[in-house]
Amino acid sequence: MRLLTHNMLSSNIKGVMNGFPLRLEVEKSVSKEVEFNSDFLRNMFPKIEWKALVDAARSMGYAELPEEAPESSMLESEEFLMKFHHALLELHLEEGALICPETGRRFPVNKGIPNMLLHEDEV
Amino acid sequence: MIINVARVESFLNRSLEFITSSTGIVCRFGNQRAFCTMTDSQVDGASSLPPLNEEFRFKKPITVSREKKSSSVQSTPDIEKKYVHHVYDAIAPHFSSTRFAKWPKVATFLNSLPPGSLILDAGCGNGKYLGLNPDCFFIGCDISAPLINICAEREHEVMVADAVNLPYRTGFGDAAISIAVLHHLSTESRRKKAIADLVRVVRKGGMVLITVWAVEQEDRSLLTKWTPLTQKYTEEWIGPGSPRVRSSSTLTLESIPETEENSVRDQLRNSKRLSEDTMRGTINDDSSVAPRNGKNLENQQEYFVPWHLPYHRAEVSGASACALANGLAEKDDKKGAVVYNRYYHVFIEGELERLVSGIDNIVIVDQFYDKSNWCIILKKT
Repeated sequence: MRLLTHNMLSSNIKGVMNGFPLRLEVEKSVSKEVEFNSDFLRNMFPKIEWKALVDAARSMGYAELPEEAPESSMLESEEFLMKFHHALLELHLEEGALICPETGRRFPVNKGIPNMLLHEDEV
Repeated sequence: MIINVARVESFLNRSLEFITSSTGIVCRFGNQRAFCTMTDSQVDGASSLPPLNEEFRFKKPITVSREKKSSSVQSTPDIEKKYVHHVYDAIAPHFSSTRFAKWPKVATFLNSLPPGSLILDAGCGNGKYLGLNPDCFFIGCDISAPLINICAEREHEVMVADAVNLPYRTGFGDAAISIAVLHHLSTESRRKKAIADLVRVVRKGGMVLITVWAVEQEDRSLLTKWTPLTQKYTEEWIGPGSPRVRSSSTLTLESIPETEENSVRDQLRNSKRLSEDTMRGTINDDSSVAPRNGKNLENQQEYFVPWHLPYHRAEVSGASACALANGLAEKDDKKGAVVYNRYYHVFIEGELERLVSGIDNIVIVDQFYDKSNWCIILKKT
């Protein structure tokens, strides 16, 4: 699971008011090279909840992203884009879990695949 | 009765001879644990699948009980668990090997999206469309873990999730697709909820493509291979003598006022006969039912559609042993395959449009019929 995906995921358990962001429990993470595409990154940037990305990247051991949400002018900086690219697309959570911020419920991640299915009593 | 792994392996080697049991069977296959209960399937009569017989023009209708356990639209009904989820889990590799042709209309839609788009595929199956547009990024989800595993092996970004309850933030995607998915949802409210979620997860200005199987199949002979289902909603079933029968499609109801009473009698007769029969029901020899079946088939939208899983594939899967034991699948020695039934609610002309008519933040960009599918393209406003 990439952090781009993580930035989209939200716990939809019945009764949860705000299930985003899910906290990461990292057992195994890897980095896989992905072709750099600045247009794609610029398109993604407005969608991203910056703090969630920074925190998630840090939990995966990557602390290079600026804490503060960058100004859009930063999108012209290749140096920034490369860090954004690495965090968003190249870091993978292979084994671990995603934790609902309100209920603590663990959504397991195995072989990079999150299982977001709810149990009968959670719908 | 517990069947341990050694016994399972030995009976798989004996060409899928199986032992029926009147109690629950726990089958362990490697790391997976497939729990099958006989009692569930016997209660609702769905285990009494008629034997396949090519001589008969129409399949004998099956009555499937739709007892609702939870009031939540997001709770998966039993018919979908048995005749969609378990089936796809069991047939995943074989199914995937038959799903390679990229449907041109879907490809056109995907290739028309701006480069750099984030595309969400809800019910992605084996991931056939993931990555189809190389300038876009795809995130897929499916309720079937085996199918998602196949996607992941192909390096796609995927997860196991329910299309009726997408665990996504609102407005994140640039586009969403739902290709041959909604016809596996067994109630109108679930189908509407899935569509609402597709719209919710795309941004303002985002596009949604939905395709579903049509009642109006180009190859009409296909319908004779399908088993029509008569529905019985325990809450909504109205007894004999009442002129109105509620079905899941209100279109059906309004279009046949004259013959409704006949339909009620047929359904009653069918369900009574089915409950009297044991596992292998007698073939329908009631000639007064068959021709009326032909007429009713015009409005029939609920079906079991068979999937033939070749024996050598079934042994690899392992889940077929459970399915056979439970009566959820049958052996067809002539074809050398385990036959599964998949639940479908096929769509009638105008039904997709009707379903989206209640959504106020979309416009219909296009709708069309293509190769036995109804399709609609929406834009979120």
